[in-house]
Amino acid sequence: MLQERLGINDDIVFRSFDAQIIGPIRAFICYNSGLVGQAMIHEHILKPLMEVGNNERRAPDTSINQLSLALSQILNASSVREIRTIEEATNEILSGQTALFLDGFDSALSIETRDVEHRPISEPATEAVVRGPREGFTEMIELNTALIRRKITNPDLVFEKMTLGSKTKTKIRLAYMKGIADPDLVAEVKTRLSRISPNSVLESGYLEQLIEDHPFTIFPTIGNSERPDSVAMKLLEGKVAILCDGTPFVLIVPHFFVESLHVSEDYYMRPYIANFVILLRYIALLLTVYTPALYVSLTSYHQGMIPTILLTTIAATEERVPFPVILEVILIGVAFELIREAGIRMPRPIGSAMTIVGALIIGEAAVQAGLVSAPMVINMAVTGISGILIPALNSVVLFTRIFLLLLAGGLGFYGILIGSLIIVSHICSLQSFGYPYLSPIAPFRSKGWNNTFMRIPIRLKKKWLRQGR
Amino acid sequence: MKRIGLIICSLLILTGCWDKRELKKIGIVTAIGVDKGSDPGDLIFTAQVMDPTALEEGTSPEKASVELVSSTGKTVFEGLRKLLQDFDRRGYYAHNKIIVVSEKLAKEGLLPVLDMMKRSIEVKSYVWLCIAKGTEARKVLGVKQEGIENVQANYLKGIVENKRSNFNSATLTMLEFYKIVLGSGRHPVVTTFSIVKKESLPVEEKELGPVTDHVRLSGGTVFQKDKLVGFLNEVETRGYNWTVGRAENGIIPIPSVIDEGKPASIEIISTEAKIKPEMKARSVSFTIEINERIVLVEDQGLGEIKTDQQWFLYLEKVEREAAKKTEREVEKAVRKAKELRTDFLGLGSALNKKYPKTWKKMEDQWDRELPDLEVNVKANVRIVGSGELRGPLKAK
Repeated sequence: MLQERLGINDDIVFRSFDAQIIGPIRAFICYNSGLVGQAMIHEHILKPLMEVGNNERRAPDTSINQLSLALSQILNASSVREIRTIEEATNEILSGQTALFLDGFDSALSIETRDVEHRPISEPATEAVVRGPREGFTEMIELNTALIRRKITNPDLVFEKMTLGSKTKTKIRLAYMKGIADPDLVAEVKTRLSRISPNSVLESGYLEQLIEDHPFTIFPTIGNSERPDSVAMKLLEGKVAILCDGTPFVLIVPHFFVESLHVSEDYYMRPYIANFVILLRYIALLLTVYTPALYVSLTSYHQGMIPTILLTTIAATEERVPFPVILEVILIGVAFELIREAGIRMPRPIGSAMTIVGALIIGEAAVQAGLVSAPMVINMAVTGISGILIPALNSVVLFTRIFLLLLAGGLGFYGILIGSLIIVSHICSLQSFGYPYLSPIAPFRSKGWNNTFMRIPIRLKKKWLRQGR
Repeated sequence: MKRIGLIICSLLILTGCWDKRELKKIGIVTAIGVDKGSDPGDLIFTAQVMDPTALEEGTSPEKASVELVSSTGKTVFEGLRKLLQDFDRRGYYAHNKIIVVSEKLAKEGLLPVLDMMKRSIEVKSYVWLCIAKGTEARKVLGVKQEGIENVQANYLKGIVENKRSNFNSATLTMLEFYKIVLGSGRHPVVTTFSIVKKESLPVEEKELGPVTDHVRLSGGTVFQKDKLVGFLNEVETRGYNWTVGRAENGIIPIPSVIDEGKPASIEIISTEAKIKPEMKARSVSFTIEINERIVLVEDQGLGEIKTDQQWFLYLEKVEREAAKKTEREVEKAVRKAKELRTDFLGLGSALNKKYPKTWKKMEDQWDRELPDLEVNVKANVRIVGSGELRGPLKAK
């Protein structure tokens, strides 16, 4: 029967032998050749079972009902579990265990033999730091839980097991700190996860999109990280992490807007420089969202607000360009996004160089050719560079920028004002797992402020474990 | 959903004016001139429009940075629109720095001329209002600039703003003009430009020859309400500036107190002026009190000061000289006001503040009675420094 289910697969191996337990018994093992350690099978299963005369001493009880007990004394594998259905056996085999079947018994044993090849722990590509741990999560969930556990050596740290995906049977772990995390929050996360039934979960992004509060907003209401240290930090703040097998990206809920502007390194650096960098990120956010819109409305509506000399310079360069300013911004904006996307998809070594060089060359050449004006290139460069400072809000700034740009092109400053109001009221309306997204700014919580626009020195932080809730 | 639609509609509809102007479609106007036309009732409107490409790097220096365009019309706005018949860009007036009106037109009254500029949202109220003394406004705008600025209007604006460290001239913005004219008890003194000839030396490489026209900011123009009635010379203007507290900074030349016949100069640090009206039995008298703090910046006289007492006496003398000079200048301004029968010093408004009832009675014949008023001038001078030197030096 098992052979029926798995037999056509080339990677499933069946091996029959005579097990010497209380005299020879017909037996076979079944495993997936790619997921197991061959040496482990030999060492922990075949060798103890097949060596004649080795086992009588260790298996005094001959009762067949106590199979597992008997065998667990013979087999020197780290984990042995009894399984009773074919279904169960199939799952175990496919996830890298070895199933042992003995003639005459109505149950089988699942023996831990997993030894999957995986990527070594390396520095995460998305959240590079100057100061801080260099390790990032890998695609192996067991390793990832271990990485978190190593940061928080405390029995209160709970990993709850789940399996999602009717086809993929992906392993999910829910992590939280018992006593710190709000039990309602944990329950809510569990309910949401149990309510969905996806066919496949190949990356945590599948889950993110299925359990988020507002599927139709551009704002991310679920955070993610590849860094064990930042996940540990969030767990200590009382958040819940969702680990997903097969991806280094761990989801963290609830996620607040201001968190997108912070990185774990802010807490490792001394507070002076950390606060400066946080301030810089806020400035970058404003710059990257508003620069193109401001430029367009200043040059096509409110020329009176530009200092005369600057206006002359801008006017002189615009004189050679035949398009309206708004079209210029769109042109160079599209070019910039093209170059950026190309830079990401390009083979690593030439990627980053290509981005900068491409932007410069295209900018310069476009100015020479009279397609865009030089101030426009500066404007787009400021926009682009500021955007890179806040990668967590990548999609947000892109869309708000376009939204404001179009409004500015049609209505000038008034349009920017309307657009800003719409965006702010939209952010205020969002929630992340029941928590207001813009907390602690709105609703106002003075306690959270020492972590919002600045970071107070760790010494001054009394209840720092409970902050962020 | 209905409510959101309503909000969006009202956001778009219930707003003020909307006007989109591409930067390449406008001509940036930096100065406006208004002259009297040849036909009676005609105005000549002149706009100085900047040519941005001339300021771009790499363009030939021969290209002028501004264009002067003129047109004639019955009203200012008509002239302004007629400009477009022979000029390709529509004017943009928010960067206008200066309004120049010719002397002849100003004699007929300024308010009708300025009406359009005050109504317009583009022309800012804080532009400098200037009178072209003895010449046409468009000639003032047409003088090739002598200074460093590339745009002629910026050059004009620069010399007007230099008044801050030189109080030989009066300056006034359009807004201040309106405030004074529409108020009572004071008449405005407006910025005055005149054109003078200036000899240039070879190093300046003037294309127009060794003697060139040159704009000079000097004195002030006195208005009776909005009509021009006369001009102040530089000394009278200084007296005016003292009285209205606009002598923020400047040099007062005095005779050296230690070495007779040699000059010295003091610099004003701060001044404060008060006009104190006093009721007498039948008439009103005024005391103009000026408190100034000064620094001795130059004494060309040679001498030696040995003791502290001598030093003290020396400073006291300087203070006395400065006070004397100030009083003399203010008196000259008072005399001019009496002569023109125009109270540009604000005696009336000081009276209004202190004795409003008396002012009500006298308001109508105030300017006529001006020559009979008794005006005393008193200057209190305090010297606060003498630079890096303690007293004059003398070669032995």
